[in-house]
Amino acid sequence: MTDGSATAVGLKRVKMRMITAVAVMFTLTCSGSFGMEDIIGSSGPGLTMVMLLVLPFLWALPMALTSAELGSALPEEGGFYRWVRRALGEFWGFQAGWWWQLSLYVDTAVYVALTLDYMAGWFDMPGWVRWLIGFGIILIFAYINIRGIDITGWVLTAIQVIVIVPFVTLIILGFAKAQVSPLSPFIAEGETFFGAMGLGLAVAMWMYSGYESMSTLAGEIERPQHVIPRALLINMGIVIPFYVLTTAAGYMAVGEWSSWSTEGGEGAIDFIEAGRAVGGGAVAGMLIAALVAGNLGLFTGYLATGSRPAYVLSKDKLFFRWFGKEHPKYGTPYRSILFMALLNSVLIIGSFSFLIVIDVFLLMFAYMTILTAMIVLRVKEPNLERRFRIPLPTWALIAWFVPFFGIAILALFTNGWAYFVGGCVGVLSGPAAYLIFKSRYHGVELPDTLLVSKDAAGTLPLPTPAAEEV
Amino acid sequence: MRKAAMVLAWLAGLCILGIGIWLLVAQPSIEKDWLGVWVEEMEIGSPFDMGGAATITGIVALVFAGLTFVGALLIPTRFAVAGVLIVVLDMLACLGVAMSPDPKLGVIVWAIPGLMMGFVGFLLGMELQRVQEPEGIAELE
Repeated sequence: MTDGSATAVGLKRVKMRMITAVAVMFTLTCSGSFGMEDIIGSSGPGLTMVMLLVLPFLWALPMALTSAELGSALPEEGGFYRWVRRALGEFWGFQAGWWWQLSLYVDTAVYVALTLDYMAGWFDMPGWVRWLIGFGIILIFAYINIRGIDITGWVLTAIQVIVIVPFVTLIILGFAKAQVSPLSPFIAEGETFFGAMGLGLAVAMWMYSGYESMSTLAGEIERPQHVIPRALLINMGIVIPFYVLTTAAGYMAVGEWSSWSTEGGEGAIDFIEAGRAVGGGAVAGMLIAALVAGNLGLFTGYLATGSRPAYVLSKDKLFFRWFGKEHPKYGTPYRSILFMALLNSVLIIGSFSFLIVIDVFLLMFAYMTILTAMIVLRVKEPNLERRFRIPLPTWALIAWFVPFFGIAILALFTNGWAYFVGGCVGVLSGPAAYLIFKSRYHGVELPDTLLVSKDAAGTLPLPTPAAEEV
Repeated sequence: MRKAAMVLAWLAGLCILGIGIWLLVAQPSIEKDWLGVWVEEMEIGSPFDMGGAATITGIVALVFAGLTFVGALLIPTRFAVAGVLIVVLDMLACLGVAMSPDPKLGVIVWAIPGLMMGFVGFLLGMELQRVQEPEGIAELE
């Protein structure tokens, strides 16, 4: 029935095994615990453990379950852009897509830059060599993306094996050689509870983000309403213990909480140093490989998901038409992928850290519109077929989402005033862009059917016989 | 929504006019350390002093006010253009605030007109969604 052939929409739909989908989701939401070091060093180990255990229920789970429910109801290419558009109209759908897309354009370059920075730590290389290597990395993974999300999925699966094995090794050896309690000290010495929490909260939020990302690929996966929600929920069950156990084991083996940092330098401790302490150069080497692979995985995964909103906006005649073309052979939005790759190859040239300013703002605003759309659809379309439905009444969902909104708003103010204002600039680009593109291209009307590729027989994906409680 | 946007645009313009006059008359001491906080927080660029900063920013504010009034006048007939103009002015002003010696104070000063101008953009965007005829139906299969 489904041979993955390209349809009239132009996108090729592929069969994705659950393990591949989970690997893709793990890439987008985790890809290693690197980054946790900063939370330990700024908030204190005990508070870090509490945040890692509590925050997912206030931050990650709302987005993950929202993505599962709406992904099962509206499994359309473009994902959350479509959900917001259906709930709140074209303007707000565009805002969500635009803000998220913009943040991803910068984000993906960061992962390549981090990889290059790490390599520069081992080898002395002139700037142009650094850039050339980065450009090569970008081209390779852009090519993989253009070949198709099935191949991308396999590559990401292999990458995550390289990421997970060293951390599992660290968990085993770290607990075996534990010297200190993971809860001591509870908060960073010299800080108040809220002060300590504020320092690590932004990183913890970042580590628990990304659950909406895979939704943009829904139109290219067979039975997305089955695959993606399940992958989401399986992944949550993996990521939370992964973060908690790796962080606990790493810290317990080494201690010295105030030295934990991703910045490196004299006396700094990170997971690689923790690995060296418990397993010598071999484990440290494995973790270095995990760091590099993890960043490359993040780049590849977000190049895949992050290129889709521009493509879908273009198909909806709300963006440059150039972006809305599919590869004639591979059935992927190759121009959108290429543009993102080329933009990244420019961004890795210099220090673009000032652009990361807008990242948090854009993502927080996009997230808030997605959760708002969730509630609006529950109210506006209560009978929309939801193959997975969060087992909570709408009023309870609203109550549960309140802390999420509070955290998102708090995040806007955590980085300083220059960051705050810079972020406002990013957010304001949304309405300006809509006014320009809508005036120029006018948009399209969407019938109330799914924008999902049909299979070779020309039929839409069959619904599952009964609502699934995953 | 156009009417609401127009009212907000006029009010924003008046606020900016007030800010400009205040800068020119009160001449606050803002010459030193432009980009200082920016460099401290974002580690890019070099701080600099700007002689006559109060006069310069006051004049810029008056120009911004004038352009905002132009935008307000355009709303009834060319509201998309007006919306882009007003939002872009807001973005430029935000950049100026971020580069100023005291962005926190700048945010406080710019908060009201900035928010109003932002709302203008959002209102006019929703208005455009309402009135602009789409071009055909999406290709779905």
